[in-house]
Amino acid sequence: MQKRPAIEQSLQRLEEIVGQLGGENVSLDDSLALFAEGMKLSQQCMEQLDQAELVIEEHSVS
Amino acid sequence: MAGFQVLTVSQLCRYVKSLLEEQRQLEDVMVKGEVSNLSFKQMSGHLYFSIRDEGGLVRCVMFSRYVQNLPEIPENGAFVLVRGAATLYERDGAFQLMVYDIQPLGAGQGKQDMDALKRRLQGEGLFDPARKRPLPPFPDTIGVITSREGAALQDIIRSFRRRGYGGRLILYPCLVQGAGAPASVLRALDAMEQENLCQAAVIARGGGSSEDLSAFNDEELARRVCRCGVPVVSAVGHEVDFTILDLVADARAATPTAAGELMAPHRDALAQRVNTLREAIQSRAREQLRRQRQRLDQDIRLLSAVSPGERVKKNRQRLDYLVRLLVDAQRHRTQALRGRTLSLVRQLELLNPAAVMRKGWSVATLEGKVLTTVAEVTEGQRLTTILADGEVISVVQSYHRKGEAYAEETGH
Repeated sequence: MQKRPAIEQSLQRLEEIVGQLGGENVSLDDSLALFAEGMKLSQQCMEQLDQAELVIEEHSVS
Repeated sequence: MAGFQVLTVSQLCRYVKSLLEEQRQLEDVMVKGEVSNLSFKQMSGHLYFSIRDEGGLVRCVMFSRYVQNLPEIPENGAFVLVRGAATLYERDGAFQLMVYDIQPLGAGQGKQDMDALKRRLQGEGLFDPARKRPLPPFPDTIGVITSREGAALQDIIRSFRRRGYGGRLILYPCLVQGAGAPASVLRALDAMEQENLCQAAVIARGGGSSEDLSAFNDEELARRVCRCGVPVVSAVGHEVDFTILDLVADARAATPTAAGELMAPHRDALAQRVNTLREAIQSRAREQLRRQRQRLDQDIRLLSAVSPGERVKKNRQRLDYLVRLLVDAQRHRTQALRGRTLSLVRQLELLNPAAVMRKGWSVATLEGKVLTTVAEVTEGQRLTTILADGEVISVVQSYHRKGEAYAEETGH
């Protein structure tokens, strides 16, 4: 299975970005970088949601 | 097969049934045991159950006309004395008791054991709501611990699909009934934890299977579920019966379908969440930019106040001022000088012999030399007297010093 950031991890990161962008002492460079990361990651999440199909596997139990 | 009489299934069942019913001792028997698999049919009013002990199990049916006489319907696990006739249920080929009466004898051993275990685990705080972990809101991998063939798995898959769940379902197959079930569920939990792929797990058992829930009242399983690294949902019970697994699990679902709904995030809810976060990032980034611009404006103001350009400008202003001061001072001095010069000129003018002469003074000279004393002249000398507007030539007749008589008078 292709490795991709778990949706929960992505959501956590997006929440972090919201938190950091809300801070008082964020430099201009940092805010721009956070904004770009947030836009990219949320776009990825939406695509991931649109494309995601339920994957069913069976793993052996010794 | 010659010599053998070939029977139909029905003929065999009817024959065994008649053998049973011929036995006078079995016409009216009293049997004690623990109730299980109890099922009361509302429509017909008949009661179906089993009585069991360590060594065996007998299926029982009690028809509605007898059930009506019961003060109350026993529960699973109840220890009872049953009175009835042994027979065979031809359709299933099953040996069973047709029950006329049930007398309670108190709780059965299994139920007593289970109650004791419940109390012990409760005393240890294993059922404590504070100990239970919340289910992850957006798991992308969910472990399903159930039988490969059971209806539970299909129910969960249907439920996940209905919610548009785009994650990964990993089945860790196990037995859900029988003596080997607890150990099998434990192995499945171990395998799941070892792989460490799932963020939550469900232990499920389909509806419609045997009423035997004993596998999920296992003490070791209860403790193992408490130690599990991820939250565990139980979906093994009944609407009414709680197993010990239900009590220790982080969440209980009445059915596998309900478990699916409890665990799988709805796609729309996820999309909504992502959108909300996206909008929050946009608005906060805008706010940051606004703040940064304000700060920049302020910095520019502060910086320009100390910039070289500004200093040059300031210094130039100061220089202009000083130059003005200097020029002014110079002008003052010049004026003062001019004033002084004028007064000196005036004083000088006062000393100008010509001016003095205009007032009536004159200068006497002898042979071009100004006479300053009478000692320089003798009688008969020609003197030139300079006046303001010309000269007078005269001849000395006499002279005398201040205080002396005139030479002429004395000479005459």
